[in-house]
Amino acid sequence: MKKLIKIKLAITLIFLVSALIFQKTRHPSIINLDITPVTYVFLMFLPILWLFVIPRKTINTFPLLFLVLTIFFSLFNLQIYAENMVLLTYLSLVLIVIKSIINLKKVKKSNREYD
Amino acid sequence: MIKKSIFFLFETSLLIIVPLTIILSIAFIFLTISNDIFPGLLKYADNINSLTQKNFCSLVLYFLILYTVIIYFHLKDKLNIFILFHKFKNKEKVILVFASYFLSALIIENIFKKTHYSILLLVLMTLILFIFFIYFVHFITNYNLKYFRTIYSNLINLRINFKKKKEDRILFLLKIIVYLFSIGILMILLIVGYVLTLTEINSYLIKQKQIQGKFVITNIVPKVTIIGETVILDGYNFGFKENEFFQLKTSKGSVSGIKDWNNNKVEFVVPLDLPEGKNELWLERTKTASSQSALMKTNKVDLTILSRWDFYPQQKDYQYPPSFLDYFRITVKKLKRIIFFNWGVIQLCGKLINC
Repeated sequence: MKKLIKIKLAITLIFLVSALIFQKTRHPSIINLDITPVTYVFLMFLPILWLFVIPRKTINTFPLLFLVLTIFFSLFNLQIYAENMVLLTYLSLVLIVIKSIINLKKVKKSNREYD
Repeated sequence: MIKKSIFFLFETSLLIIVPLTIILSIAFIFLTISNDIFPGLLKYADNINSLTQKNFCSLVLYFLILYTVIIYFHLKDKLNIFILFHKFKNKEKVILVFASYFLSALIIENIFKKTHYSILLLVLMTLILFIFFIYFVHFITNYNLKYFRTIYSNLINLRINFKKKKEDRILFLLKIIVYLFSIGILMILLIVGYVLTLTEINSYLIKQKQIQGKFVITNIVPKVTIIGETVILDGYNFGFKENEFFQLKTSKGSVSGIKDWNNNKVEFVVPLDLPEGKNELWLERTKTASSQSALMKTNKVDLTILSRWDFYPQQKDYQYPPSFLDYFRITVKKLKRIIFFNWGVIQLCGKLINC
């Protein structure tokens, strides 16, 4: 069990380093779409969420956390950080919607099997 | 004796290198992500932005070579790749493939110039790196602190022998000298490696600073194109087109179709009178906003022009009644346009498929 987590951690380390090097060395654009650094960071963490199979309950707390941080930063007049947090809030909400759609499909499939 | 000392050297090197790489990579991840989400919060993190492709490439290559040597000597039983391959889950493999693609793109871009085979090389390099990563993950996950124990037990054995005989004392001293010597060589090798990479990075940064002060073109995108298409020149100190002497020149005269003129970027449409083949381009500007001040010139960059009819249909392609070959030619040209103008793979469509 411990070894499995070790393998996952090693893979995340390799992936994050290589993805960040890719971002720093190339213009962060994929098929003529300019991606902001924050979006890139978010997209970079998606495979890791997939790898560790993080439960939906913890993912559901992400937008709330980012929203609280947005309020915190905007209170202290740190507009750039607040903007980034808003972006992360939006993206994590999109992630939740996608995840719930996938779950819905899974539930439908399992229902069909029972029928 | 020599074999033992080499083994000892190898073990001590692992003790230094593995934690060092893990700490360095975690620090790199932390600094870059913090710089992306909270720009300007950590002053030290800004330095990462000034590093460029070549610096990263040299660092990555240094670590790759170091670890291939380590893994080659470490895996004595030479594990079969297929056995290791089946130990990984599918999603782990997918993520590793992406990681290897990211690094191989960087290495290929820096080491090999863009050729017809760059895509093939990229695929090959991705495969090699993927295999390397599988071995690397296996090595890292099996790495533990048992080496400490072996070194400690070795030292205890030496101490017991030291008390027994006079001959053993000489042997003990000899062993200690060999161990110290090997550790010294190892440290020197490691330090030289790091210093060399760091000096290269530093010299590059100094060069970059010098270039930033000059009126210079650093890049032209795309390098190969056809007439009527937009081309972008990147560089420094282009000014803001304050008078009529701010011009883009070719060997056939000045270019009029300039879309955008920034301090760091000039975007223009390739003029119709430029001949096919290699053409030289350069920029001219006055030193100050006044039109009477001295003229300055940049370095010359090459722009290769290909025939427009390699990409667009000609009059003869629309003959009546149209044959199958005509349709084929038109679709091939359309495909070429899609590939070239969207992905910029001129070498593949312009030269390999020539119809």
